Amino acid sequence: MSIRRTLFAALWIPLVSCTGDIGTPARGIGGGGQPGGPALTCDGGPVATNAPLQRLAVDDFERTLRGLFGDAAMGAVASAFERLPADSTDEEGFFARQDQRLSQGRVDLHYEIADALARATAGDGALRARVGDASPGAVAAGCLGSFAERVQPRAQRRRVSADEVRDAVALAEELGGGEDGIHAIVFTTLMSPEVLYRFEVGGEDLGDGRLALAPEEVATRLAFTFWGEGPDAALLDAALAGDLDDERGYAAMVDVVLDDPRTEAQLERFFAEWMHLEDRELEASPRLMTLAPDLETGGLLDAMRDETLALFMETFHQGGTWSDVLTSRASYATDPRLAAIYGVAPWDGESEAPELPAGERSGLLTRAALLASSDGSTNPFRRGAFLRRLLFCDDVPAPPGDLPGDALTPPPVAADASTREQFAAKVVSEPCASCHASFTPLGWAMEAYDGLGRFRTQERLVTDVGEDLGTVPVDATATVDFAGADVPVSGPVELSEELAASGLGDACLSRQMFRFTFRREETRGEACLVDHFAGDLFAGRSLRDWLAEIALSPTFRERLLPVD
Amino acid sequence: MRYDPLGRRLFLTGLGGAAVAIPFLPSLLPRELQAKAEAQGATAPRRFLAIKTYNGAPILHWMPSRAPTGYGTHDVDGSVRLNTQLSVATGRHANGEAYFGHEAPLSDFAATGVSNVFGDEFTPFLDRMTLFRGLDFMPNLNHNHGGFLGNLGFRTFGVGGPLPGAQINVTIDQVMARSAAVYPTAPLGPRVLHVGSRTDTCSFEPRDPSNLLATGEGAVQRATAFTNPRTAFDAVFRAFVPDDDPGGPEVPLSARLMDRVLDDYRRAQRNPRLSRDDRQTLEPHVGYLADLARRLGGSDAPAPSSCDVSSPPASTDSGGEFDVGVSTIETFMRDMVDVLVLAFACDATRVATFDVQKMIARDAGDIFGIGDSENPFSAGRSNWHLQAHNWDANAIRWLSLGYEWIAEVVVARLLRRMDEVMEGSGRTLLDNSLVLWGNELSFNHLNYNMPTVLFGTGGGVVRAGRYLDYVDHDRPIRFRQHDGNVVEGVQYNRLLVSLLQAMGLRADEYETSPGAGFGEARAVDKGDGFARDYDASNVDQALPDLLV
Repeated sequence: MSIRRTLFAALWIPLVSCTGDIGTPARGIGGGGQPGGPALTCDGGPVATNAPLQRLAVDDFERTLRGLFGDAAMGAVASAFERLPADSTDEEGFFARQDQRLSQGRVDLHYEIADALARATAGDGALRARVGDASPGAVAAGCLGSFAERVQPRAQRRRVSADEVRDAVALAEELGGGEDGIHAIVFTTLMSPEVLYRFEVGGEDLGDGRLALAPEEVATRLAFTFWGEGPDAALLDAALAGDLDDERGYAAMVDVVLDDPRTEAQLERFFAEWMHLEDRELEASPRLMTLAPDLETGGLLDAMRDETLALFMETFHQGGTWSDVLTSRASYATDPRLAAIYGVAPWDGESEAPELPAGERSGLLTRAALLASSDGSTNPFRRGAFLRRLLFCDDVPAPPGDLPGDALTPPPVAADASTREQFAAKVVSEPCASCHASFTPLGWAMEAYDGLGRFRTQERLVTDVGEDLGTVPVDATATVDFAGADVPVSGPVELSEELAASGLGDACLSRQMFRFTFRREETRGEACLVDHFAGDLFAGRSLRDWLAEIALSPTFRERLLPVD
Repeated sequence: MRYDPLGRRLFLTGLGGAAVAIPFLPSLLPRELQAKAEAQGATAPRRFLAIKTYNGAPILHWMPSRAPTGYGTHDVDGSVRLNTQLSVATGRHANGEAYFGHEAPLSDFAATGVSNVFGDEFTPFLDRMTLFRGLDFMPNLNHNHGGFLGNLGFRTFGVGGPLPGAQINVTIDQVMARSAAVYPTAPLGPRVLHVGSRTDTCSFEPRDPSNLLATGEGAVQRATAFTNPRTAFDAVFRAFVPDDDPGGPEVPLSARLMDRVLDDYRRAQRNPRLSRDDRQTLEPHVGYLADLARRLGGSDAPAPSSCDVSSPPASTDSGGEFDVGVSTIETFMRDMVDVLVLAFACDATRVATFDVQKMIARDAGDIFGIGDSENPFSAGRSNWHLQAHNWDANAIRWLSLGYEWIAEVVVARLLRRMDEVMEGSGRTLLDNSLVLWGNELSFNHLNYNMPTVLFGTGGGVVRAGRYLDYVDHDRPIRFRQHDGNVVEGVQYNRLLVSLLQAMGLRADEYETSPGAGFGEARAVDKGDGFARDYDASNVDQALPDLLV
């Protein structure tokens, strides 16, 4: 165990539940040492979470309806989904799915979607059979009751009482029965609050401020957490049949859920958004043309994105840990251009992945997708802030608004001065210096790679108009703040090792997964829970087992009762 | 009687999917609409459109700086000095002295051109243009989303988010949209049409529509914009598509179904295991559903039969920030303008916002930059925000060129289109509208002397055709920052009040308390170095001498 590992182990509060103010959004890592509130004491077992009512994220809503109605029927609502405002958040470091905004236009479009799907179902026997689990002729025979009995629980993800079914059928018959009746049932079901929102109100009161989730609510949590959509018929039926009530049955279902391809898709969404692996293109800028005159850049960033996603997913499938992701030397570059950037042979996608050159590159931080810039430049400030925010989960304040006029202008490329020297000169005085000290050293370490992500010991100085001013040596050494401890690193490889050893990366993954899963910031009390699961990662739990551990935790099947 | 479950009058699918390639506006509007407009006569409704741009404007290029014959210039910055004092005082300073703004007819500038930004293309509209100088945000906001339309308590998250001690409230477009003065009956389109080159808008809507004037961070949320002209068009005009399956007589459709849906929501709200916050989460949803139900079941006037919406614009995705070309951006802006004009002309909506977050800078015909307003990851000269920080000669030149592009491609084109639509009594759609173009900032991240211009007369309630300078040039300049002077003008809140009144709203419809005016009017987060000696007693009044 390194010094830093010991340091983190001392800071980390194992297996915890919390006392104190548990409703305040947490800032900073760890439940015990956060600014902005009284000290938090975590003791005992993991704490239950709050469960504020949330509307479904747009993408989750779309996938849920697709699961219910199938791909063909979703064509009828494609236009409406295009017009539905995409979830987004103003704050960097947050997930778009944390957006909870509602508007008249959004509600109007929900109406349009519900109506279109209801019409499609009413007019299509095969779709009626799919949605209502009924034969095409059943409706004509007047079986609205059995149709409603099937549709309502499935779409609303809950038990529906006989009275509710009776009411639905009565309305359907009043409106003419037949296809119009089917329309009425499907429409009112899809417009119900239980479809668009996730209610967790049906379970047993455990008597100490906690509420056990009802089995179908547990199934719903499993599905939205790991699949990003509502439970399918098999999962919901299992829950309603009581198959999740005992630990063995529940554990078996957790395995089924985690082994489902939808889990992989959801993890890719999580990781891609966390790492900002958006679709974009490299510009054919004069600088890039000089740095790599023969490089065909079209699709190269996609290849970088895919390779970084593969690092995460292959590690997951191979039973690896987050620490492995941070330090792995496996190259998953299938694109020859990216493989050349890495200095390895392309991976064939099946056999053992080639190994990255020792000392040059290891782990997530050193992947080209996180290093390449659109015009081939490097910006240590930006790189450092990116890593500090996303991999350490620390706040990086925005520049103050009253800076001098040219404060945010990148320094010019100059002969005989490295990028590092030029950038360092901009922040030697206050108030810049102290703020930049928290994140810029991370960018210094990343100067070992150029704007395409190529390893270098000499920096080639190229201006934005493509003028080549010669080379200077690269200095990638840095002293990096690890939770208050200054740690010298010789470069990015050592930085990755230190991050993995410190446990701070584990804590950050745990926090990001919480936010992605629960679609909100953790409260101070829930920071204990985040720490708890970070501890599991730190203890060497594989990513796959870690996700199972989260699902199997009693915490996952409980919530706090509201106190008002 | 045949049951129509959907209400085809309002919601039809498959809007004009085959008409994408047809040129958009020119074939659509005026002739038929003129007849309709003539029939409306003097009762033509007032419309309000707010166009927001970002990162401040180079104000010496925005304001007149070429003095026509008979005018002098201010020594401090070379801007044109106006000769005629307004008859109504702006207010009194703390020492009791009254101070006044000044005015000049914009026609006086016709020969020299109003400014670099407002070039020759604005000459036909000078009689319906009101250019302001000296409108000041009271709180020290820096970057902000909603100050332009009256939420003066919220900075962007990048510079701090909620401003401690400042009131956070909805924006005026939302207030207008919920007033019977603007909408005596529910509109066929959205109450507020939000379009933009990004989804983020300058508009803050109430989380609880039944509590419009609630204040605080939890009371409002940012509205989102349509970022594709085609989707905006579909959203506005889906009510206008003729019924291709008339069937039998319509039953006020879905009233029963919506009743059931509303009942379901109210039942859910009563669940004792929901928290107060949960119930509040559902409350706006209930409000929106109720509004929708009213529109579905109401007997609003049918869609204007003369409004030809058979040729929708092409689909243009404004996303992707930097990976769209110049022609795509220009097409996008043109089509959004056309959607806005058509929405107003067809009276589908009467309130709209347009967030313009991209600009193109041309130099002697060559394009040398596409700016995006807020993306911190862009590099070099193509970052609008970065140039606003630089504020050196090159940056000012670049920003001026960008604003000239917006003025020409977006604003002037919009005005021409609006002026083509006759609405009776010799008035055009532009005459009957208020088109406000403004900003979040003025010169380099300060909120003094907000670049603001108003077009139209709101049906004759605005005394247009003037350059109004509310800066008290007799006051000491507190400090200068680049090409701007920090010195008292008039509270921006009074412009907001003016606009609300011009749209016909009563004070009790927009004031949180009698005499409060609209929005945060205290000098929050302004220390001694700032100009802050304003007359708070008249902050609930319209701008001096602006309205008839």
